[in-house]
Amino acid sequence: MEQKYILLVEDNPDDVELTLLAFKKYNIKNDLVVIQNGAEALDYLFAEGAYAGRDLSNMPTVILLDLKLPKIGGLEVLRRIRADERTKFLPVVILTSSKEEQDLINGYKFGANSYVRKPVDFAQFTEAARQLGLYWMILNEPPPRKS
Amino acid sequence: MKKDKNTLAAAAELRRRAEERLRESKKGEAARPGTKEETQRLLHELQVHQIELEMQNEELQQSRAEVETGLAQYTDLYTFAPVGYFTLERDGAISRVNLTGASLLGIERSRLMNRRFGLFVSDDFRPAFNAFLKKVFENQAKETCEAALRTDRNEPVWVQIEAIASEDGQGCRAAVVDITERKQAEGEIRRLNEELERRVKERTAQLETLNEELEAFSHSVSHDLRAPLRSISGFSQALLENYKDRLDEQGQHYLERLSAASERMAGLIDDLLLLSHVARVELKKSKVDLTALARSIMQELQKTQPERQVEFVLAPGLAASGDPNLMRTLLENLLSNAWKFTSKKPQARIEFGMTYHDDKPVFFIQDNGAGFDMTYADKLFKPFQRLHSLADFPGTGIGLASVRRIVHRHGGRAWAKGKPNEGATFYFTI
Repeated sequence: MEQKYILLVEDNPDDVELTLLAFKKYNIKNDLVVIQNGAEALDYLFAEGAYAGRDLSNMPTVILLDLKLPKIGGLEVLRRIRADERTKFLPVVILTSSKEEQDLINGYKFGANSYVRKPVDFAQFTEAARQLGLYWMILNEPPPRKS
Repeated sequence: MKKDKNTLAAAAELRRRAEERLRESKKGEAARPGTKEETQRLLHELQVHQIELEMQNEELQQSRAEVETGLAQYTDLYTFAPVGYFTLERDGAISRVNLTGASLLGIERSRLMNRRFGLFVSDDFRPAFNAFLKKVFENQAKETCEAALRTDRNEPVWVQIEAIASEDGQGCRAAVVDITERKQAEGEIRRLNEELERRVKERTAQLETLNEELEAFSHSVSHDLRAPLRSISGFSQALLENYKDRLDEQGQHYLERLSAASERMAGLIDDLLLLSHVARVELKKSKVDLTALARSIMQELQKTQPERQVEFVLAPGLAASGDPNLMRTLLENLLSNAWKFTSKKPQARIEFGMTYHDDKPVFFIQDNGAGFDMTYADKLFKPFQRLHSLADFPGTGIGLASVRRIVHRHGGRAWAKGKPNEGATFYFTI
């Protein structure tokens, strides 16, 4: 049985480390795959470029997606995830600092499952990470794997 | 009666003609002798008759002099009138014109006779003038028109023509006034207006660009400033939690201060964004039920601290015309302030109602909380200015600045009254 894992698409190394810390604190033992730009994230998901040959049946259980990414932005990544048969049902949680209403609207418009604002306060941040992990990795039923 | 040479010559001529007429009337009559008495009587009659005639003559001369004086006066009035007078025939031919009129057209009076007025009107206006002339003779009432005259100068001569047909309809009387100066002033006003319009358009475009830039700025602030803040807070916290045993009390204290500071900074960024949002968002006015809005906000406030007992007095039917979102922000700021500053009063009371100042409706939110010193009242609505220490009451000092901005955008005013420890009342008009 394949292991459940989280794909974290985040370019800020501080945020990556803090997220890891948060998950560790609450014993969310799942593996975390971290990719630091949008183009690479798509390569990973579609097994192209540097990730050619990756097992496509092994999709992440949930994708935590930041909006501000270099090369290809978060919204564009989301759009392409939703446009491809192989990935269009994957749960995507937008995890971003932006409070701008337009980003919120666009997030849902492009098909995000959830939109979470990264709190500045670390305690709140870890709490958010804990709840995300709990919900998406344990409580939520992921889409069935294609055979 | 002056007895000068002319009068004598005229008198001689008159006698000659009288004698001739007498001769004519007496033709065929025989000369008749008469008695001495008869002749005397006739002589007397004739003498009386002559004197009568002389007297009549004198009167006539006087009348004639008066008439001539009158005529001279009227001629003077007509000829030298400050407007041009024209008498025109049905086809517009000039049958009479005064000096002013002639000089308006720039032609000697004698050379204007029987020439059509229309000839002197500039080509562009001739059809309009002809139509005007037609209307004058049709309507029998005073008609007015403006026209430009033909001129060999560069600047056109503008005139206003008022004309009325005579009773017999065969001619009309026209007064022609030079309005060139007025026209030039009008032209200048029009040019100034166009210039103003252009400048307004330019300024509006500049403002729009500025707004777009502000929006881009807010957006980047939203992302870019928060991330490093999170790092500061996050790693301080991680240090505190995971390396507590390796830090002494002082070290832990420093880390706590770091965390608190970054949290404050986050609050400031949020508030700044709110303020700029309030300033630049598009205003969409509609009728807002302020009573319902206030009630919902108070319910939310109560949920944040369910243990607090606060008496909330709410006037029914409060409404205003405004942007619903901004109205909500306005009331949220005022009510949450009242909530916050009554937190140390065991029997807190907050009232939202309406009163009248100079017959104009004014909304107010009153609380019996910490109040403030009126000496510093002018600082109240300034951004980041606070009248209480952070230790007493938290806050960044942006709430009232937002309130004022919202109220101003709706064309209203906001002000406040307070007394230390006796509460405060915030008034606003919309």
